[in-house]
Amino acid sequence: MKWSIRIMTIIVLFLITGSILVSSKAYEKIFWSPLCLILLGVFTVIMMVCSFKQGLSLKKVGFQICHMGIVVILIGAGIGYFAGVKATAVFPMDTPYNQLQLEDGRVVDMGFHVSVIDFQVTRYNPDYYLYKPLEGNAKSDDLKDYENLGAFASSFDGSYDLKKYGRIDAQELRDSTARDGWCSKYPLENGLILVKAAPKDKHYLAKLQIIDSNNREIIEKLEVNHPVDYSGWRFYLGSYDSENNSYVVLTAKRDPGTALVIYGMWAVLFGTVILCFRKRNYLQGGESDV
Amino acid sequence: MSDINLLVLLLIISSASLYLLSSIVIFMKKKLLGNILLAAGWVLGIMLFIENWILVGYPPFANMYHVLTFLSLCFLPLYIILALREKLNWLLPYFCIASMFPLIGVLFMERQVIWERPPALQSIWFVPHVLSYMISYALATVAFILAIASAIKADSAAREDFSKAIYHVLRLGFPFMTTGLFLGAVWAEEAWGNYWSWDTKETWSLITWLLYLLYFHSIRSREYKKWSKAFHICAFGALLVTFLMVNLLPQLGSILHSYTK
Repeated sequence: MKWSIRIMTIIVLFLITGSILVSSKAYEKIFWSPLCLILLGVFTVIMMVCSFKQGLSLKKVGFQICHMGIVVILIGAGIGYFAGVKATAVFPMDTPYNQLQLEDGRVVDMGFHVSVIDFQVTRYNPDYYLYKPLEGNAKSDDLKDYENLGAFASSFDGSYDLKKYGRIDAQELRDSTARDGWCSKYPLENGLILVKAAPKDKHYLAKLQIIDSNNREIIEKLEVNHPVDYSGWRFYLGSYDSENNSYVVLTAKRDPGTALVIYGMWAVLFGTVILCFRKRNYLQGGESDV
Repeated sequence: MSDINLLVLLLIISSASLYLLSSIVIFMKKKLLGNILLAAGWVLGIMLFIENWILVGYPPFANMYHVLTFLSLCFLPLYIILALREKLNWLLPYFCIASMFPLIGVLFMERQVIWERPPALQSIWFVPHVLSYMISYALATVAFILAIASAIKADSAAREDFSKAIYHVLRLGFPFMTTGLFLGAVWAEEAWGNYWSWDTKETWSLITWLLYLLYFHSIRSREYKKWSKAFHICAFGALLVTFLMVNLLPQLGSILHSYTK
């Protein structure tokens, strides 16, 4: 018990120190540093020793599941760290790829070809920025001569509530000649102007074509939160070319440790529920230190 | 101010006021009146939650306003569980006080009643992840309020009663915190292919979880039992950092959780 308290305290102090250094590159240097790996390695060993010392009994089921679950998570994470590969790449439409370049420059052959053959996106009604002309600049075309009064989203009835500047129906902002069907700019009374903000995605979907080594074709639908699995690889939909829909950004990952991590998490969860929901009295004076 | 926003404001103020009144009345030993006021405050909170749900068209958990309005509703059902399981009926006024705080927070923020979910939030893990965390935060808040109340008690027997209550409250909340933490990782794996990316919010949620774990371990250790209160206080501090500061301080910006702004 005392060694697990000591190592967890050190890990907490390490994490706090690391989180204070806020640039994303600093995160990688700290949280993937040899010191961090050593701390987690020591923690894993202490968990295993704790489990071994407690032994197996019905009373200790929750304890064992919890502690071994953490061991499984850390082992899975270690496998992923040393043996996993991940790459994020731009996939132009209808262009097959069988190789990916990793962050460290290495090129990995996937063993099959993958291409994006279709992409669809639906969007919410756009936000509009309301601009008010600065003194004496009522007819200027330059937004620098305007004051930005903030962004306005369409409300539940489809109109835009501009507060003290009135309300405008969404249909008035529609423009059938515009690519996305919405006006870029819309003049209001007294020189006020509405300027369309960046689009807000509601849903997007890509179709992947996978050609294996035997030239068999497989078509899979890929969405955010619904990755595609094939031959040990997992594909995730990241972003896309918002101007012309000419490319999609995918992340591809092959990580043999991920399954262990996920199973370990469920084990810790299950073990914690057993430990915390069974009847137990508050201890006075503490148990003997293990 | 539109009619909807005015109604929202009235519900928030009424609900928070009723929670505060109920705690005062219960401390004055007028239990029946206190229970009625508490129930009324909770019903107004439910009306606010339902209104938010209708306006956005899906369970309202995406932005801070939605999350805090739901958090205030968690306290009463959790009190009922603790009262039935651990016979901690005397905790009621502390749960009433805790119910009020999220609504006070909502009064001082921009209440984004309409929220359009980006694709990343359209996941089956969204509601369980946020819901688990809200339940655990509700219980952690009550435990902290009890710790403050315990600190001003001169009687050591009373302090011991408070310590036991804190232990049982946190013991109920910790599985929910664990669930929230791991469901977040499962979700991140499905959405971005990264179950853990050392995002600021993730790191601080792990720090919070570890500190509560340290509390439970130290309580059962002869050598470190005297540190259990310190671990508890630090854990709640970390919880506040995770829940509030990461969203409110731009320089601590969380990349993955930025859609909650």
